[in-house]
Parts: sequence; C-alpha cells; structure tokens
Amino acid sequence: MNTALLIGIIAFTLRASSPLIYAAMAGILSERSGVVNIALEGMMLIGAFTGLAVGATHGAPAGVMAALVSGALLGLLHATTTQKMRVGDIVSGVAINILALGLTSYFSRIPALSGAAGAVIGVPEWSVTLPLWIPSFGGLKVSQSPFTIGAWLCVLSVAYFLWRTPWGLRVTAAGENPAALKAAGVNVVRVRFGAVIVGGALAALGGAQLSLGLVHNFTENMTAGRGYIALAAVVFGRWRPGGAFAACLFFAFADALQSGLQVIPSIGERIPTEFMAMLPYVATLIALVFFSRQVRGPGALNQSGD
Amino acid sequence: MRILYAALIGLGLGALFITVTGYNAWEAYRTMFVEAAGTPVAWADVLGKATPLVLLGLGVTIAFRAGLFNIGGEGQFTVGALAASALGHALSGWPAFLLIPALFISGALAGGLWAGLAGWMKAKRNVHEVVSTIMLNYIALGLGTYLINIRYGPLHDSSAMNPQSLPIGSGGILPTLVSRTDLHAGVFLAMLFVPVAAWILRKSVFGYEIRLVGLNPIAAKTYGINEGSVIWRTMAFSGALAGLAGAMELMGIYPYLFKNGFSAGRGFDAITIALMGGGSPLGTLFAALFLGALRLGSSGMETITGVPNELSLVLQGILIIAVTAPALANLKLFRRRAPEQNPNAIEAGGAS
Repeated sequence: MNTALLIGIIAFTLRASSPLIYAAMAGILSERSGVVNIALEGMMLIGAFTGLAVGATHGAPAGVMAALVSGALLGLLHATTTQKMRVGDIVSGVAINILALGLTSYFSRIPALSGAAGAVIGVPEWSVTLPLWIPSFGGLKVSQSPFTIGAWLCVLSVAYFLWRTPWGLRVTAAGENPAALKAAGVNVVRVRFGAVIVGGALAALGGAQLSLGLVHNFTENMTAGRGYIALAAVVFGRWRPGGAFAACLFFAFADALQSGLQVIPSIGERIPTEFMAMLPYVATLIALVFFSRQVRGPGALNQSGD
Repeated sequence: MRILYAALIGLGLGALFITVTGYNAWEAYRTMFVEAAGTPVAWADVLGKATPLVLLGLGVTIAFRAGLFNIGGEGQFTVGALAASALGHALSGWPAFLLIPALFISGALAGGLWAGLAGWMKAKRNVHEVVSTIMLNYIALGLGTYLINIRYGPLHDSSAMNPQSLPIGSGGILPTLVSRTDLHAGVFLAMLFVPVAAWILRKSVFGYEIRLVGLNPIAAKTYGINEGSVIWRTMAFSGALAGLAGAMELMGIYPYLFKNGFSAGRGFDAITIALMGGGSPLGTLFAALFLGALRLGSSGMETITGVPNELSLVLQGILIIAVTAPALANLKLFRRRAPEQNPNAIEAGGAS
C-alpha cells in the first residue's frame, strides 16, 4: 500500500468519524440520563437536511445554527414523548426516525420550499485549512474541516461535563438511580429533558457535517444507518466519551478502508463494490458480537423518572 | 376507539402540516381517499398492497409479544425475495404445484435465517436487536444490489439493460385476481396467517413461551423456560413471515423480478402496523389494510395534487406516537418501566 493512499485513508477516517462522534456524544448524554436514544438517526438526518437547505441560501454558519435548532426540537419531542407521555423509548425513537425520514424527503421534493431543487445541491467547500492542526506526513498536507476539530472538542467537553461538573453528576444520577436524585431534591424529568435536547442538537450537528462538510449534497436517507452505528459505538465504548470516540474512529476506519480499497485496481476489480460498501455494517455487527456480552448500560435506562 | 382518536390526531396534525407547506389539505386528503377507496378496483388494489404488509406486520407483532423489536423487516423481506428469485430461476421447469410451495419455503427460510441471526446475537451475545437488525438491513440491501449488478451480478439478466434479476419459472407466478391491481392469489395465504398467528400466540406452547418472556422474563425463567431459545426462535419466526412476504411479492407482482428498492420501506411500515395493531393479529390485519390504503392513496395524491407521497411517512410518525402514548398499558415493551422501588429513597421522604 503506498503512502498517499495510507494518508488518504487516515484523512478520510478523521472526516468520516466526526458525524459519528457528534452522534455518539449525543447518545452518551441521553443514555447516561436514562433515556434510550435510537432517534439519533432521525436527528442526524434532519440536521443534514436543514443544515444544507439553510446553508445553501443563507451561508454555512446559518445552516449549522438551523441544524442545531432542528435537532434540539426532535430532542424536545423525544423527551416529551418518553418523559411526559410515557411512550417507550424505542417506540418513540422509531417514530422520530420515520418522521424525520418523511419530513426530510418531503421537503427535499418541494421546489417552492427548498428554493430551486438545484439550490439544495452545491454548497461551497467549507473545509478550512487550519495550519496548527494539520498533520503533515512526508510533505503532504491534510486539511480537516472545522467540524472535525469541533468533534474532538465535543468529546473533551462531554467528558469534562460528565465527570467534573455537578450538572454532569446529575445526568449520570438520573440514569443510574433516579429515585436517589429525586430524594436529593432534583427534578429528574428536567435533567433528562436537558440531556436529550442538547443531545438532539449535537446529533444534528453530526448530520450537518455529513451534508455540509463531507458530501456537499443532500440525498434521501443519506445518514444510512450512521445513527445506529453511533449507538453501537456508545455500547462499544461502554457509555464513556473516550471509549465511544475510539469506537467511532474504528467504524470510520472501516468506512475509509472500503472507499480506499476500491481505488486500488488489484483489489477494486476483484471484490465487488457492494461487498466493500457492507464493510462498516459488518464491522459494527462483529464488534457488537464480540464486545456486547459483558457490558452493562446505565441502571435506569428506559425507566420512568417520577 | 383509541385508534380512532389517534387517527384523528394524526390526520389533523397532517392537515396542518400540508397547509403550512403550501398545499390544499382538503384537496390532498380527498384525493387520497378517492384514490384508495373510491372504486371497487381501488379496494382490490388496497387488498393487494396490504398482502405483504399483513405478513410483515404479523412478524413484528409476534416479536413485540416476546419483548423484541424486529425493525429488520426491510432486510428480511429483501432476502426472502432474493431467495425466491434465485430458486425460481434455477427450478424454472418445475410445475406450479411444486414450485410455488418451494419458493414460499425458500423465502421464509431466508428471512428466518436473517432474523434468526439477530436473535442469536441477542440471546448469546447480548447484542440489541434494534442495532443488529438495522445493520442486517443494509447488508441485505448490498447483497441484492450485488446479485443484480449489470457487470458481474450472478442473478442479473444479461439480456436486460437495467439491474434486474433473471425471470422465474412460469410455474412460480401467482395469478393476478383483479387485472391492473396488485391483488394476487397470495392474499389467501397471507390472510390465513392472521388466525394462525392468533392461534400460535394464544393456544400453542411456543406462543405461551413468547408471551411469558415478553411479560415477565424472570417468571419465565422460574417456569424453566429457556429465554435465549425463545428469543432466537421468535426472531426467526418473525423473519420467516417477512421473508415469505418478500417471496410472495416477487411471485405475485408483475414483472416478477427483483430490482433495486424492492422492499420500498415496507419493512418500516410493518412497525407502524404492529404498533397500531396493539399486539393482536386481528388488529394487525386492520392496520395493514389502513397502511395499504395510505400507500395507494398517497401515491395517487402525489400524481394528482403534487403533494409528495412522503407525507405518508410523516403521518406514520405522528400516528405511532398518538397510538402508543396513552395506552397499551399491559405491554411493558411499549411503555417506560415504572421506577424500581428503592426503599431508602422512600424512607428519605420521597421529596419531589
């Protein structure tokens, strides 16, 4: 394997990992507070859509803001259904995923709303080259999107928040022992609302990175299971930010490997692209088969908070 | 009654949504209704559209009863259709009375294996079935695309320009009952599974095990039921129904070929159907008919009024929440668990 390809794969791993990282941090916040969150997929998808749709007309920063808001709204919905309306976490998550798929596909097909249908496509390149952060390998420069750096900061912030702040302690307590937290005079439901809403915004940011930063386009169901892969990364990383971060890198590496290997003629011609494209999903399954057995999630997952 | 409220809430919010997005909600709904229920031909078509949905919905319902969330209907449906497509071509000389059952069985086996794998992962390896079945969906999708790839797909019909499968033997084709609709003879088998599923759940040992594991796994263990075995058997059975639906769809709908996008989101419709059906096979039948009508109506609505048919997905999302919110109290899967009683907390005063 030549150096350029190797560097390409590493660079792609970093890029492809950031949507997963945002979503995984969202999953950690939500699940640590006691709410199962398979709605990550829908939150990413709506972030990918609003980020691009608003970004195309009002510029990328506005797009990112819009994505954050759309994700937070879905988070609010998930928190309301699970904490106030007593819908099961997984049912609510499935409903939100179907809703997000419907909303984004619906809107992306209404010409009047997305401007011209063509305007949704073709947001200008938003990858900024930050000299300080660029790893240089053999004279080759690799530019990373600010989203990627943001994702690393996000891991550090979530870790700091969970382990070092009183609010983080409340989130973990809401997921481990809501009764004790309640006895201490804290409103468990409110803590969970906060965690799920912030998580929604984060997951949507991951989706916006996918559409604005990585693909520069929106296609129907473009997240293609990444929300669920991020959830697998949370389990794999045992609900810890650092562990989930490593897992995201691993899954993104599988993704980078499949697109990298397809470029090599000797491999690309022998193994059908369809099998290569399965790699991230197969890697996720295998990882879960080998590492799910001994793990235990937060104690009060899917339990009522009042 | 509850379903009625939920449907009203869903349609009401949907109307608001259509209006906000710049269309005429009344016109959209009216067209949808006329397209789905206006003529006897439309009724036949709804029944045809509901045929795979009944089987898929029953599969999800049975898994629900064991406390399992099979959201891999898309993948199981796809591998079922692929198996029937491959075998239907290989055995194209067989007469109908042999080929039709063979293809049904192949589809059910493929779907059962696909979901059984997720069941095994859950039972033996503690892998949550929600994640594993979704991953298996994408793997099945890739498998289908590979098999009919124009350049090297082993199932691809080299005389066709498009990625599509080789034709199946004429003995494997299910006769159409009403011309220019999706209603084919498979509907009888699909409908037969409604009482069969009800019988399995209520009267059989397997059904008893399913219900006990779903309601109270600890009690099930006390009764000497092997939870892991029930889990993978339930998943396999659930997937077999989805695989059968896939095979039936391939054998019953012109041009009897596998193409990309074959499952067309019906594996996800099945979740809405099972939730609306509230865990009962009869309820599942009605919900499948409703979703079949929604599918037919929304595509007619798009053609005539221009409202994107993805509206049906938006409606489904709202419906699921509306249906599950206040009720289904006896199925713990649908609801959040009550907090585990912590005696210390109660003694501490239980301040709220």
